[in-house]
Amino acid sequence: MPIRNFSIIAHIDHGKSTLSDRLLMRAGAITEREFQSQMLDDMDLERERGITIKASAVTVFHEHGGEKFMLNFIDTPGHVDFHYEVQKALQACEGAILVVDATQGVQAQTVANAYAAIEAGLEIIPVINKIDLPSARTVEVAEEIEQVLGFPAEECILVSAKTGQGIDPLIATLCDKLPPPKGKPDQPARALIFDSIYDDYRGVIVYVRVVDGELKKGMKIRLMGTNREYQISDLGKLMPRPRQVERIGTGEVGYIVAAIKDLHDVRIGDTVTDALAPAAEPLPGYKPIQQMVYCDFYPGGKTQYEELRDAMDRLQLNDSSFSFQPESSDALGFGFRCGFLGLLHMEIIQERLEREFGIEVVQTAPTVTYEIALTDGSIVRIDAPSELPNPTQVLEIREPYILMNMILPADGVGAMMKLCEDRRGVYKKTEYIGATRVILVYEMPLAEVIYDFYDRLKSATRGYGTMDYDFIGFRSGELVKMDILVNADRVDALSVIVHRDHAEARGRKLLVRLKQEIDRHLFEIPLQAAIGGKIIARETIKSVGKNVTAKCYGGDITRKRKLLEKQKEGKKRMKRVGSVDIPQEAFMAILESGD
Amino acid sequence: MMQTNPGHLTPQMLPKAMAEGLYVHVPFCFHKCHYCDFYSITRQDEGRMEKFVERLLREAEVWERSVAGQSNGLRTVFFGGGTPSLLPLEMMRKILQGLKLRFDLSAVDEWTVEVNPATATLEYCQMLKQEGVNRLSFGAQSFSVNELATLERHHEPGQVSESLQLAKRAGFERLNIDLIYAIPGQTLESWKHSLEMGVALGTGHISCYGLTYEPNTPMAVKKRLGVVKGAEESLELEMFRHTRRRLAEVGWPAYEISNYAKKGEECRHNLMYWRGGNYIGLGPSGASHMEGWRWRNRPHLREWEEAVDEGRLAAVEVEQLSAEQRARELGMLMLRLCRGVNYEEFAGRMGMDGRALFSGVVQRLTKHGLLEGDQSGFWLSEGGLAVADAIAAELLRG
Ligand SMILES: Nc1nc2c(ncn2[C@@H]2O[C@H](COP(=O)(O)OP(=O)(O)O)[C@@H](O)[C@H]2O)c(=O)[nH]1
Ligand code: SF4
Ligand SMILES: [Mg+2]
Repeated sequence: MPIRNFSIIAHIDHGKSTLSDRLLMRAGAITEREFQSQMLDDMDLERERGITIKASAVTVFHEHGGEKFMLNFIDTPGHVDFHYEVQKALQACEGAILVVDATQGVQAQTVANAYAAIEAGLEIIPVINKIDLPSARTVEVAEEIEQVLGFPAEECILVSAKTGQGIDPLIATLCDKLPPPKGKPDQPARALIFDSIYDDYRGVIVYVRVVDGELKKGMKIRLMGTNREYQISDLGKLMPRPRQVERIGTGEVGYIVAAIKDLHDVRIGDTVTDALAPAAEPLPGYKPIQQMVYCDFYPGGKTQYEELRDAMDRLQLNDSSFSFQPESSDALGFGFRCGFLGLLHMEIIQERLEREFGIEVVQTAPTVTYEIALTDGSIVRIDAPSELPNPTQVLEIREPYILMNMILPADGVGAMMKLCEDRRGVYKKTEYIGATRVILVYEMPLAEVIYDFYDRLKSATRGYGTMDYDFIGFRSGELVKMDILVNADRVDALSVIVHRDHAEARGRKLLVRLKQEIDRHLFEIPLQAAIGGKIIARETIKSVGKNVTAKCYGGDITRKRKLLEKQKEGKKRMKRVGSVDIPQEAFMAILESGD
Repeated sequence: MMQTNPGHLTPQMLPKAMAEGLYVHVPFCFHKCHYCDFYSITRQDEGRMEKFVERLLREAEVWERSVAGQSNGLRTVFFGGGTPSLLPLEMMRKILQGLKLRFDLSAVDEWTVEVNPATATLEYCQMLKQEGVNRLSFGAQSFSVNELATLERHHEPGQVSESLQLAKRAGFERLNIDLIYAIPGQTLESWKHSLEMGVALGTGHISCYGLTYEPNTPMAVKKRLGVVKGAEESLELEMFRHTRRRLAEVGWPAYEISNYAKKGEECRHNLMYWRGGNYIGLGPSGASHMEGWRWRNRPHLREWEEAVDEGRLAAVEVEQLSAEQRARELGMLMLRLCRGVNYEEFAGRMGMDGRALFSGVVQRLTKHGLLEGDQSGFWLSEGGLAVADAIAAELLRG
C-alpha cells in the first residue's frame, strides 16, 4: 500500500487543526459531530486556549486513483515557542501542507514554518484556507505566497476546512505529489522515537516513525541510546483513536507498549531497533534543544517538593523540550531551575503541572541563559543571575541574540521600530508584502523580548502584527548583575542581569513594583537596587500607620483573637526574608518592570 | 485547640474554679443602630420579654449548682445588650432579685447596667440602685445631631445629660458614657466638641470607641456601596491621639485602648476581661471564660430558650486553649492595658514566665520603638499604640 507522511504547518489560527479534522472526516475516521469538536488537540489546555501545543500523528486510509493510500499526518503547533515540536514533526515526514488563512495572508510563523520545511527537504503543498469567508482575499494571498515564499501562485490549493470545499483536490494532490517514504524494508528495524506519554497501567507509551524494517507484536526491541531491552506487548496506531495492529511497516507511524516502567529509559530522538538483529547505527535523532528561558519552580500551597519532582519527571517524558534540575534559594527554599523554549512554553508547563497533576508552583521571574567568558580563558553558561561568578573573574558577559521577523501593517512600523530601538534592537531590513504590509527584521537581545514584547507588538498593531524569531548566537554586552536588598538583606531570587544603561531605570521600576507588592510592616523597610556595592535606586515602604481597633468587644475574646490571627496570616502567601514577609507575587515583579 | 460538640458543654466538664464576673445579655433594642453587630432583636412584646426573664433565671440555676457559680467568687456583674433598660421596671427587678437568690453576690463590688439615654426615668434608676446596682453606663455616642443620624441612633444629644441628672438624683456615683469617633463625615473639630461635652458631664469614666464597619451591618454595606465614606486613617489616628491627650489633661487618663477614667473609677468588670479572669455569660450570645475554656451562648433568642428549657447550656464555639495559646492570648489582652503585660501578674494568672515566652517579640519590637519595658513587664509605646493590633498579632504568633 502506498504511504504518504506529511505535516500540517501554519501560522497560529490559520486552520491547521480544523483541516486535520476535515481530513479525518473525509476518510471516515471521525463523524460530523466529532468534527465539530476539534479532535486532534487532545489536551484540555489545547482546546481551551485554541492552540496546538504538541504535534500528534494520526493514520487514515484513502482511496485515490483506484488505489488505497495510507496517510500519516501530524498537526503541528504554530506558536514560536514550539518550533522544536514542528521540527520534530517535519523530520518524521516527506511532505508538508502549508496552510495560509485567506483573510490574513502570510504571517510571521507562516514564513518561519515554511523555511523550516524547506530546510528539512520536504515537498511543500501551499494551501489557502477559509475561502468560504466573505473577506477572503484569495488572489492577493496567493500572490503574497509567491512573493514571500517563492511558491507559484497558481499552485496554491484553495480550500475551506470548515465547509469541506476543495478537500478532495487537496487529497488527490497529496497522493500524487508527495514522495513515498524512502526507508529500506529489508534492513534491520530502525524507528525514531518522536513522542512518549506515561500511562499508569501500561507504563511508558512510545510513539515512533519506522524508518527501516518493521516492528511486530511480541518482538524484542532495544532502545539504542539507553541500551535497554523490552518486549513489545502491544502495537497500535492512532486512527485517531488508538487501534491495535500486528505490525508497523517501513515509513509508517504508530505506538509501542512494552512494559517500560522507568521514564528515564525513553528519550525523544532515540532509535528503537530489533534486539535480535540490531541495526549497526542509530538514526541521527534530533538536534539537542536549546532552552532559552529559565525560571525557578518552587512547591507552593500544599504541594511537597517530591510531588513536584515526580510530576515534572512525567511531564518531561511527554515534553522533552523543557529541562529541570534541583535548586535552592534562601528566600524560597528547595525547588527546581527549569529551562523552556520560550515564555508561552513556560506558562503552558506551569498550567499543565496544575491541571494534570494538581501541583501548585511558585514561579520566579524568567531570565535568559548567559555565556560568561572568564579571565582564565574558559567559558561557562549560567541561567540564573545568582550563578554569576565573582566580577573579578569575569572577562565578559554574553547574552543570546535573536533574529526577529515581524510582519506588520505598514502603519504599525513606526511604533515597532521605536520599541525595538528601546529594546536595544539592531535594525536589519524592511520589505513590503503587497502595498499595506511590511516585514520588519531586527536583531535583538532575547532578554528584551521575553516578557511583554509580544503583547506590545499586538497592541501596537491592533492585533494584526505577528512575529517569529530564531536564535542567532551569543553576543557580549555591557551587562551587569543588579541585586535587590530588602531591609538591607540581599534577596537572591530577585537579582537580575541587566544592561548597564538600563540598570537604573529598571532598578527604580522594580523597586516601585516591590513596594506595591510588599505589605507595610510595623517598621520602615528600605528597598535598594545595587550593582556591586553601589546603590543605584532606593525606595522605602513606610511602616503601618494605623492598626488598632478601639472597639468594644465585651467578653467575646475569641472573636478578637481570631480576627488578629487572621490579620497575621493575611490573604497572600508569604516568604519571610529576615524579618520581612515577601508575598510570592513580588518575585514576579521583575517581569513586569521590563521596559 | 479542642472543639467540643456544641450544646454538650456542661458546667461539670469545666475546671473547678470560681467565676469572678457575671455578664447578662439582654437582647432587646427598640431600633437597630446601623453600625451595631451585637445580638439583639427589635420586635419584642412584653410576653417575649417575660419569657426571656424567666429563662434567664433558669439558665442561672444551671450554674447555681456548679463550682463556678456557687461560692462567693463573684466580684462584678455587668448587664449589657441590647438595651437592658428596655426591660420594664418590674421585669428588671425580677432579674436582679432572682440573680441574688441564685448566686452569692455578697462580694460583688461593681454592678453595672447599660442604659439608653432616651428612656431612663428616675423611678427606674431608683429601683436599680435599690436592688444593688452601683454603676450605670450610657450610650451617648455623639453630641452631634447629624452624627447620631448617620449612626441611626434614636436619641437627642440633650437627653444624655438629663439621664445623668436622674441617675445622680437616684444616688449613682459611678457613671460612664460611651462615645464613638471616626463617624463618616465627622471632623476633628466635631469630635473635639463631643469629647468636651462628655468631659463636661463629669462622669469620671468615658469609653471612646472608633467606629468599625462590622460585616453585614447596614453601615458596612453603605460603605461598600459608597453611600458613606470611612474616615481617613490619619484622621482617625489624630482623633485617637487627641482623645488620649485631652483626657489625660483633665485627669481621666487612658487605662486601656478605648477606656479612660479618673483614678479608682476604672471599670473592674472590663479589667477582669483583660486580665484573663473567669466569667459566666448569661443570655443569648453571652460569652464565657473559665480557665482557658471559652464559649458563647447561641446568638439566637429562640434557640437559646430551647436549650434552657431542656436544662442545657446553649454553648457554641466551645474551645479549650492549650497552655501556650492561653498565655499568648493573655499577652494580647494585657497589651491593651496601659500598664501592659506585667510579668508578675502574668505569672500569677498563668503560672508561666512571660519574659521567656515573649522575649523575641519584645526585643524586636522594642528595637523598632513600638514597645517599652523594664524588669516588671512591657507596654505599648506612644508609637506602638497606633498599631496595637498588629503588635497583639505578633504576640499571638510569637
Ligand atoms: N470560516 C472558516 N473558519 C475556519 C476554517 N478553518 C478554520 N477555521 C476557524 O479558524 C479558527 C482557527 O482554526 P484552528 O484549526 O484551530 O487553527 P490552528 O491554530 O491553525 O490549528 C477556528 O475558529 C476555526 O473554526 C475555514 O475554512 N473557514
Ligand atoms: S442600642 Fe446598642 S445594642 Fe442596640 S442596636 Fe444600638 S448599639 Fe446595638
Ligand atoms: Mg491547532
